[in-house]
Amino acid sequence: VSRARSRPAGERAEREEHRPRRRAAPARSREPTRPAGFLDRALALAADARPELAGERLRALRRFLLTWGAVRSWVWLAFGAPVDQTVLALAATALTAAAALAFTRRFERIAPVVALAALLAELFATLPLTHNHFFVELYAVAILALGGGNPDEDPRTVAGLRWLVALVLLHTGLQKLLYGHYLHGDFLAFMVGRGDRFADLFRWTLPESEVARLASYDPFREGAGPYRVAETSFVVLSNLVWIAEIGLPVALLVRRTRVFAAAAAIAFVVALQLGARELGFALLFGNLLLIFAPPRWATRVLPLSLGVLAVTLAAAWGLLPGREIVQEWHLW
Amino acid sequence: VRRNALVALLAFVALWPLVHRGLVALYGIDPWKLSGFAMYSTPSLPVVAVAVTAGRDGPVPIDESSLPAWVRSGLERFRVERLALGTLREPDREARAILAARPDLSSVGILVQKSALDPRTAVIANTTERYVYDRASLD
Repeated sequence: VSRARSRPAGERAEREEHRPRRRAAPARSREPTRPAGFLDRALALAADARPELAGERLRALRRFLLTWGAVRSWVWLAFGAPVDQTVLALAATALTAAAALAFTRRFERIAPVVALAALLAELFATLPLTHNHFFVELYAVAILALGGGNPDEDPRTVAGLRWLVALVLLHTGLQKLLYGHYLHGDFLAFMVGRGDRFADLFRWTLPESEVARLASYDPFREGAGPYRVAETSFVVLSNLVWIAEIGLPVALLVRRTRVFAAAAAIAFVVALQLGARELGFALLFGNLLLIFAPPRWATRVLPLSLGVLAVTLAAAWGLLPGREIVQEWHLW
Repeated sequence: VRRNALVALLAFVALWPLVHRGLVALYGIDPWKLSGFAMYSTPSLPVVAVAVTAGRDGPVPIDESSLPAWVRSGLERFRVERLALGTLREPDREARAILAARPDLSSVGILVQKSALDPRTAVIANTTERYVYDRASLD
């Protein structure tokens, strides 16, 4: 025991990993096994075919997500976001520490707990004006923090994160259907009329006269409109948005279609967010979607994502040119 | 415990957007805020809130530049919070502040106009809420 104590912790951990597992005590093995309930079966739907890869998946996501939170907070500070600046500075410092911890093998598993505390402080400082993007980040970090320090929990944490991503994508589509503005293309027509960046992706399907008509309305005047167009291609594109957002989560959860759906969902989100010029969200959600893809995808994309974050941070603080681009393209 | 907490969090993410949709319908909260994931589902148009006083021929807008800075910033804050929280955020605090800053007024009204895109007709429809505060009843 004394020899083991004198060894470095990393070495002990490595030896522990290779030690054969003890058999369960006979008294415990007689305990009745609890049958998997509905919730366990639902969680298992998103489980990995190779649970031993869960730790690798989580490491890449943890490193990206906590760095993203730290950079976002510093960018908020750089642009003077309407949040208590003291709270924001403290949260940014804590998130930076959490991001640094995520890159160490020894403390990587407590890093999300540190980050979660900082994110909760930011949540209370921004309510009720908190962006939905922030909630996605908060929920993902909470799931990582709930995974705790036990590697046996990793497959469940991966399943939880997959459910989170699928649910968020599903709800964005479901809400579009429930509000009813996509069935005839009204919402996109409204955005075209306002010259909104989001509509740039769809505007090309309309003749100039229609764009001019939509732009002629004053959206603050009672009775302005109708924000409705007859072009079939425009209406089809509008409907494809919510259909994709509802269909992709289903394909992501089905194991056979998962990898294809992950690639399609990443392409869809990046294309949509390029249109909306919400590159920060594209980066966040794209990396979250990688939890469905083979682990090497996330490992390969991680340096690129971290590079984008580093450039964004430097530009926001004026160390590199492009501060306006960061602002215009919502790179946070 | 961790498993139950994870399931509770996922259940919240699964159900809250539906509750959120109900809150939008009931109280007019902002679809783009409060974790309902309804951004880009419907336009989010700014709230117009005007402080008025009773005139002979109807309400007369109060010149906001005549109000102290802290009252003006309170009104700005109200407009932003009202957009997020809908009718759950009433302008009681702002009305008290205006009456405190303007002792010459016996009452103050706050008109709140919200615009929305009607999904049936695809035209803009405005709704206006009127809040009236008497100094006597507030005292």
